[in-house]
Amino acid sequence: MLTSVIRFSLTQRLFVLIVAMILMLAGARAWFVIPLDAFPDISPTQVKIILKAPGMTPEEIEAQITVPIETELLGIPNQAILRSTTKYAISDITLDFTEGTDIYWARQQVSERLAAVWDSFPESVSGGVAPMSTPLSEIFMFSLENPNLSLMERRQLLEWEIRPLLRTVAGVADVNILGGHAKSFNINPNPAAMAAAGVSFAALQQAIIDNNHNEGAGKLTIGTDTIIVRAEGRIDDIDELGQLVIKADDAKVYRLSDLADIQIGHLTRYGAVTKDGEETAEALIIALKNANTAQVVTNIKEKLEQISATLPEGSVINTFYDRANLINTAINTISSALFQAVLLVIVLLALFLGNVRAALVVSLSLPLAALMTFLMMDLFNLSANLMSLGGLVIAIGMLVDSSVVVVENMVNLIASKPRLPRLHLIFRATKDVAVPVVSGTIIVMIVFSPLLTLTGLEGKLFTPVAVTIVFAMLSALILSLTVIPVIASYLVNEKAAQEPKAIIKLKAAYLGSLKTAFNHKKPFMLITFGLLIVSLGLFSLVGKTFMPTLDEGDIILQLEKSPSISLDASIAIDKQIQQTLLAKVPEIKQMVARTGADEMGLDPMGLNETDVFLELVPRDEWRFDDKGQLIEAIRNELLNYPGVNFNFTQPIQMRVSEMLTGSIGDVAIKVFGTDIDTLGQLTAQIEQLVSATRGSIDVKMSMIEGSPFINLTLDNELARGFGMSTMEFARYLKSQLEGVMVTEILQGKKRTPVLIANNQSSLSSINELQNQLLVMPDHSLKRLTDVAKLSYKEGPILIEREQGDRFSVITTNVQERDIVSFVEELNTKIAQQIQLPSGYSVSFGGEFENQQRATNNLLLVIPIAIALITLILFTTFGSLAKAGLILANVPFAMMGGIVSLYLSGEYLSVPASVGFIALLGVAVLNGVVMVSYYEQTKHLFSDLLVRVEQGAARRLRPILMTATTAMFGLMPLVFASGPGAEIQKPLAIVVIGGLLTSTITTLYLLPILYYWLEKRR
Amino acid sequence: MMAKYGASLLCLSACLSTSLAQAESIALKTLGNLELSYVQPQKVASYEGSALPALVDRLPGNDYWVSTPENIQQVTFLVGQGQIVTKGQAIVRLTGPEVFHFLAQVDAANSLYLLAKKRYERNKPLLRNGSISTEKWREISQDYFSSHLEYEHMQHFMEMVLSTDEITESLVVSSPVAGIVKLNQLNTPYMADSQLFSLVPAESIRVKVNVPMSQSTSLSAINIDQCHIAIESISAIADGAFVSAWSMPVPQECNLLLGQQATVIPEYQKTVYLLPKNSVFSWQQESQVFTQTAETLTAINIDILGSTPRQYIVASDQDLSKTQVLSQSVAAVKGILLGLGGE
Repeated sequence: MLTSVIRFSLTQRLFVLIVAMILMLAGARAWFVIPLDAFPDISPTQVKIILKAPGMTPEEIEAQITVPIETELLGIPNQAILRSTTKYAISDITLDFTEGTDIYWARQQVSERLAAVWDSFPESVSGGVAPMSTPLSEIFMFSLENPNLSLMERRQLLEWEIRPLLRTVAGVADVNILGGHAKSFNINPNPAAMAAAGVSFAALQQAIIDNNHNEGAGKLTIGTDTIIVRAEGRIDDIDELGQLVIKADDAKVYRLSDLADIQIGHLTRYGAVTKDGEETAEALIIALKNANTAQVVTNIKEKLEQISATLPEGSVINTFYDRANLINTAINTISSALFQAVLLVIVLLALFLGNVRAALVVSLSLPLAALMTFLMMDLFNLSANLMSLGGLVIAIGMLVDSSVVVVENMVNLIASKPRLPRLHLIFRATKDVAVPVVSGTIIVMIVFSPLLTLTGLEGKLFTPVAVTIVFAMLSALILSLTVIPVIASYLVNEKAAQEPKAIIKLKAAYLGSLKTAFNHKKPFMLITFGLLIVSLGLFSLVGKTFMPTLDEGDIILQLEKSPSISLDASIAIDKQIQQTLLAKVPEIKQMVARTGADEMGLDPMGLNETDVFLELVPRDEWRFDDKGQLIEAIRNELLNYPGVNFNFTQPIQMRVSEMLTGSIGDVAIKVFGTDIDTLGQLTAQIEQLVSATRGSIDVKMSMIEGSPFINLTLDNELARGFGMSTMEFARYLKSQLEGVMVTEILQGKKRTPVLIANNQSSLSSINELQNQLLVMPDHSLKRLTDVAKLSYKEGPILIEREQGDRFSVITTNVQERDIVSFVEELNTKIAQQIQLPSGYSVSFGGEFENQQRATNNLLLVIPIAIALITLILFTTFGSLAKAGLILANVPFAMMGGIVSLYLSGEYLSVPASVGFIALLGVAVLNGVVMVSYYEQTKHLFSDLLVRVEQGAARRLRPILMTATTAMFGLMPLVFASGPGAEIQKPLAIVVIGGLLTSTITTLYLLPILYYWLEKRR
Repeated sequence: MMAKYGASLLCLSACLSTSLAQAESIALKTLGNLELSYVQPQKVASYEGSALPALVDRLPGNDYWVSTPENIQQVTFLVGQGQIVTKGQAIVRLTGPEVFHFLAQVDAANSLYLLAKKRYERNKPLLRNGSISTEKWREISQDYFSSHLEYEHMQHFMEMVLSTDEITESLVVSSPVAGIVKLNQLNTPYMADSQLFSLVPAESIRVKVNVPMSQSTSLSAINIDQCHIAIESISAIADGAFVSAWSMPVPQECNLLLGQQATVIPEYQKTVYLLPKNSVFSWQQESQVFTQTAETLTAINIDILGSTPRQYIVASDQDLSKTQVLSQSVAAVKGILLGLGGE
């Protein structure tokens, strides 16, 4: 079949060129339409439910909201994990589905189940299924600056003018508004007036709800006309609200303004935003899952430009996070690496082939294969990002291999038989190497197939790499057997077939050294195997990590303060820190900080938590060489602020951490159980065991208890005498502290909530709370302390659950020992020293879990891949021994990888492991090139040694070409410093190191081993 | 980070329980670059507490009651309910034949009284010289005193009668004293001895407020709208956890109406301190402040009695007037107590 394909290509050259041209154009078009993002979508099919329950404690929310929802959700098929976090006023439930589950189906299932239990929730609960977003969805953030506008006006502008317009942009899932004051109309009841009027709190609330309505009444036919009739009662403004009649009897009419003070106020604040220490309001734009991020950002910017013209004078849209910057930087990093790789490869080809025409033919395979890859990426909905384009960079060196082998054989054949027709020689040359080229490429594709089995974060990151490499290699293979011979038929001539003098000299030198190796086989073998053993020793010295941290270019500073801190106090500390950093660290251009929770509850932080976005000046203005030094400088300043915990992260990294189980550390020990106190005790005991286990560092445990509560218990016997129920009492309390939303006033497109709320400043101590006046249902006036008892209680700050069970977690990093033995030792200690009560269990997770998962996957799939490679090699050479001979090159390739990792100081990580997998293919490919030639030239040389030596010399150029193109193709990644480089760097280092050693062993060890093998026969 | 806090909190609960028995202290030099500012608590002799419900009421026993001497067919009030009236001001007109009968009864009582008096005076010398028996004298005396009482009774009412009109058979009753008139408006007939109206003397109109026992002794005045009224008496008998306090007479300019329910701001006579709200923090169910002593900050307990929009009114066992209280970065310093800090 291969022969037919080659023959058809060379007989229908014009047709092939036209088809190639069409494919190239389609590939170029694909490049412009494929979604562009910084990273691949790393989220599973995930549906989040976020419910807000103002005023409710974690335990109450868990009992009344979280557990009923979890129970309902547990029945949904295809679910991978169900987990929840319950905090004050917020329930955040996340359901991950198995890979491949349709997100729309999943959302529908969750929505249906949620609707089924909704009626059982307390009346104040709001929220629902969160927007269809991923951890990468927060793509654009800006604050609205205008010194002439109050925080409330800025918030109103963002909420009612800017947000609706931005939501019309295709790909925008939602726009989250944070900070400022959310305007409300606050009704502050006057208990004495209400008691005198005989109006209870419930009656007041109901009267407002009932009267703020316009109701359609039907139609009235008057003669020949039909006119719509409606009952009008909707309140339009605060004055009308004041005039609302609450009670009227024979002689008296009580209006709302008679019974309460009505003021413009704001909703209870769950968070705030500060810019450079001053409060402001911001918008956070969330993109839809699978949206073309780069395009969405461009459209957002265009829309914001239009909006800016309509904003009040002096308004400035201050962008402090723009994903396009990361995308551009990342794509630039990788494009630059790609460009440099292509350039290096072309130079190498020109040097090795010694002819521009031949080099051009081979080099043409690079852009053509790349364009075909883009076409396939578009067809298979693969986005262009750091990882997928990184895959292309990794493949660059290998892309030319097929064409190198074909063209190299072509020029050799033309040089050896100049009298035969060139087209015929090209056909023969291509046909001769078609089988090894195809088998070699299939081997490389099989080598990368284990990556497709990776799951979790590593799977999401490296599947695009593997898929792109497969696409690129397939493209290169097709091109090498079709288009390349056609182009070669036009460009390659006898002159091109002449071997460069440098190569001739190199061959001579190689032949001499090979003879020396043959003459000293044993010492050579001893040294080689000795080095292999040394490298195995080095392996234990190489540091290990799961995944290098991706540099997003941005810094987020996370601050954590005393858990019971008020919003104002929290902001005050933030301001101090921000102003200091701005003054002391000139690399910081501006700082926008988010304290507390956002409005949607997508990020349910406490008032004590702050995420500070640091916008940095361009790198050429830095005093430091890298981000690490800058972070160190910031860290040194922050250490001067005791009493505040801090941490550094990045926008996407932060969201990814939240998306995962939240257990950041090498090992996470989760304790499952029911009782909070027992969980707390067990966690503390296990934490001590972890700390005492050798190798543990950074031991942390989650806090699940210790939040102070004030309990107000209604004195039922007394309260019932006045007709007061617990429910009414709770509602009243809520109105005094949180505010109870009773209705909304519509003013154009603005919806302003109407709250029954106390003036917050009048209630700021226990004493004042106890003396707060209540209008009892029988209209008598009592103090709170008359009918309720006050007590203090400690309760959980947050409740985390997984698969319907509460859990607490201890995390630790492991140093100077392997994680598996650490976990085994710890597991034994826990089993021996801790008596777990019935219903309590312990499980291990964290990066250990990820590593175990990845290792198990690879341990299962790599042997299968090796078996397949062996099968292909056996099919190609018809000998298991020769297949084994080629595979023998693999350990020496690994040796180079390990040594290079050790020397470079890089850690053994998932990308480094991927590098070792890649080495497997490249090392085998070199062996195939060498051994296939030996096999082909059996009939040419009668003397085995001569055949082996001449064959090796003959194959020096293609082997050096494939090896050096692969090495130099990856070289730009080693020296790249932009975002994404850190994840590709270990991979490139391993492959380059491995190629170096495997090339040497292919050129020296393989001929010797082949000689031994053949001689034995 | 929360985890780190958790660990430190557990450590604290274990190792601080003993140290918390005494005041927490933190060396100033450990506070790094935290911005620290201090205030000297403002000492005040009185303070305003939380709003209390109050009732504009009359002191019990000070009312002046006027009743009708006869069954009256028609009662016409000449003043409005709650109106402040002067002594002698016409209050009510009583109309009907019973009025004529009553006036006749007054005349008859007068005649009978004069007759009995004359007889009494005439027989007094006769008793002295033994001309009449003791039995006869007792009868004469009894007749005299009973007619006198009857006459005086009617005369008292007649003193309030401003005018009578035989044609319309009516009489007008005036106010015997100045005060707030409280009319007894009945839909049923006014029988003899039915209350017509009562008068509440202005000085008996007070504000009655229930005050928590713990603060009752220091209650000195109340503020209602712009009106400041001193407290006159505080009951020595408790009603649950509260006692009743009566204000001084309500000044007319306060525009408070009898029976009006109101919320008042109590003013307590007690030496307290005013502190910025951001200087106070909660620690182990107590309100505390950090005071500066030499090179350390020491946490001391305070008792929050009330607040203004920006300040707390606090009491303390210690004299705070000469101390410096931390008013900035308080939450961060509390964070240090909790073991927070660092990466």
